Amino acid sequence: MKSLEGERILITGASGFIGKHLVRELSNRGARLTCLSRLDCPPEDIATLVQDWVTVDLSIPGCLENVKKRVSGCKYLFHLSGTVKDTQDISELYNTYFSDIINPIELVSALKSSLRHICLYSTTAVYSHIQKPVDEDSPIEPSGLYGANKYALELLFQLLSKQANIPLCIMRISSVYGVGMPESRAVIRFIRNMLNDCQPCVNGSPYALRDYLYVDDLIEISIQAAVCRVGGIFNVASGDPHGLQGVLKIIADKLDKPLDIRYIGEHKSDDFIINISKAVSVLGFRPRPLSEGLMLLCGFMQ
Amino acid sequence: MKVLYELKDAEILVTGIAGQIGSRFAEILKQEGISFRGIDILDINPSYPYLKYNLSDRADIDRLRCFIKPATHVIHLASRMSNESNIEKGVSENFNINVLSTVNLLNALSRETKHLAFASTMTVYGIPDQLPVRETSHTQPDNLYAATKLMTEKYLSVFSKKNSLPIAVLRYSSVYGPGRITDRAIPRIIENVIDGCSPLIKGSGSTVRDYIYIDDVVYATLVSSAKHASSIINIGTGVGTSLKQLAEKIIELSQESVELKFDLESQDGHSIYYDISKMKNELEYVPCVTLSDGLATEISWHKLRRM
Repeated sequence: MKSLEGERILITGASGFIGKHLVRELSNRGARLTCLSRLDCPPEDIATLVQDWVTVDLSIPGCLENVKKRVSGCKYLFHLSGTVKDTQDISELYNTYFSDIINPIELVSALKSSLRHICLYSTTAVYSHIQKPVDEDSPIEPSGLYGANKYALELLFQLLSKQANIPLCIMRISSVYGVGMPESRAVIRFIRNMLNDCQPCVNGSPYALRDYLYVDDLIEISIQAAVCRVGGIFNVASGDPHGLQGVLKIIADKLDKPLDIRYIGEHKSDDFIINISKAVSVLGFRPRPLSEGLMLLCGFMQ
Repeated sequence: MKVLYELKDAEILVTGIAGQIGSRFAEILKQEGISFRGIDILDINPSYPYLKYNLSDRADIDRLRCFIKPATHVIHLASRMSNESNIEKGVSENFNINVLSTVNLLNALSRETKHLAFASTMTVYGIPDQLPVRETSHTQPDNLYAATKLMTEKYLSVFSKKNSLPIAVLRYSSVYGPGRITDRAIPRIIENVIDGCSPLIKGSGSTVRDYIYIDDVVYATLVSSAKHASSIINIGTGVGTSLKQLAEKIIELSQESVELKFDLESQDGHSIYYDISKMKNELEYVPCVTLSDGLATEISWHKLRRM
């Protein structure tokens, strides 16, 4: 297999949960990393792995002017950054369109003479929940601004990739979990609650199926796509959906704790099942089942 | 048309009212006795309530809000095709014109607004996988204009769900009719033919399009407003006509004896025409103007313009 050793790689959103995993793995493989982030300096746990840390706030118009020189020559782009918070308030677009749409396009434009591959992290939130399981050709109908902005960026990246003849891999990812994820996220809260013998609280439907993807699987498939310079749109999920009740049961089993749950909120919700057969057949994607990922995470947190 | 009776107490706002389609809306609304007002960036002085306003401008949104307030139904046509084909140079402009303008409009809507019809385009489909194209067909815009139109559809869908406002996304096919001079195939061919010159057809003339007469577009849109339609609907005739057939028809109707010339160095464009079952079923609207009648009217308009 071709390797990324010695290659200059640009990662946006490098200080986030997924970004840090990507930095570690790419560094392991000998890549030279330039990272864009809002933070003034890299988080301690990845500081030694990054060759060039570029502080920039993509929400500011014109912010890339002083950055272009430092990123020029990068051959691979992993574009993770973007507004994470979802809302149905359309006027939030005023606050997000530079960071989520205009500046990323300007960034790719500045790099297009050197880029050999782009990996764009999008989301399964671009789909309507009506048709299931969703495959890559399912109707696009985001329920909030997060999905709508990601889809807008997909469309523009596709135009740029076609114009500049750069392979573009769009990964529509489901909920990602793993070591280092924010404490506020449900999976981490559940494990923390059980470890502390507190009753976990499920807000929303305990049975509606959702797909949880282990972060290492995402990193592996992203790097695989870059190395092989694969283009296309792929659903990247575990293909092993569970309801929150099921997630808690696995955690309780792993930690050998009783399953005692408090339920609040609206219980009715549709399943959201993601078809990953395209990633499996084209990229050779073999994600681990939820129980395996949760075992790793529980083990780490214990 | 009976269904338009539903709009008898309506106040319709038409954005982009000074454009070719917008102007025809104004004429037909007047004819139908439906109250309306319009917005455009052009300096015109019409007989109906009019606001000269650039919808991309957020700074003066209160003026927009004030003008829009009485509108019960909005027909959002305002849009512009940027000449900039370079993506990085054109992205901001296209995003502003098509997406942010729409967001400004949505933010200025009042509680009075009961329905919005959005003029989208067949170009969102790009090069179709299958013909005829249905609303569920794959979308693959291949230029900035089409991409920003498709994005706008998605932002509208988010707004529609949050605010329970029915929004009809109407994907117009190739609209023709009086009012346009030279920048499209039909007016260019007509102008050539009535000048007695041979029109130059790019490629072999085999490119097929779905040509719909402007009045049918206006009426289909008004029906969507009257019915508070809330889905994506192809607005076309369902009939594909090649560029060669179209040019031959124009020559025949003009009664001029000119020959077609073909620029075989140029490539033919992709072909597209619609399946219009959804328009027929949901809007219960069927286009009434035949291609011959529509072209004859447009030819007369061009001739009259020269007098």
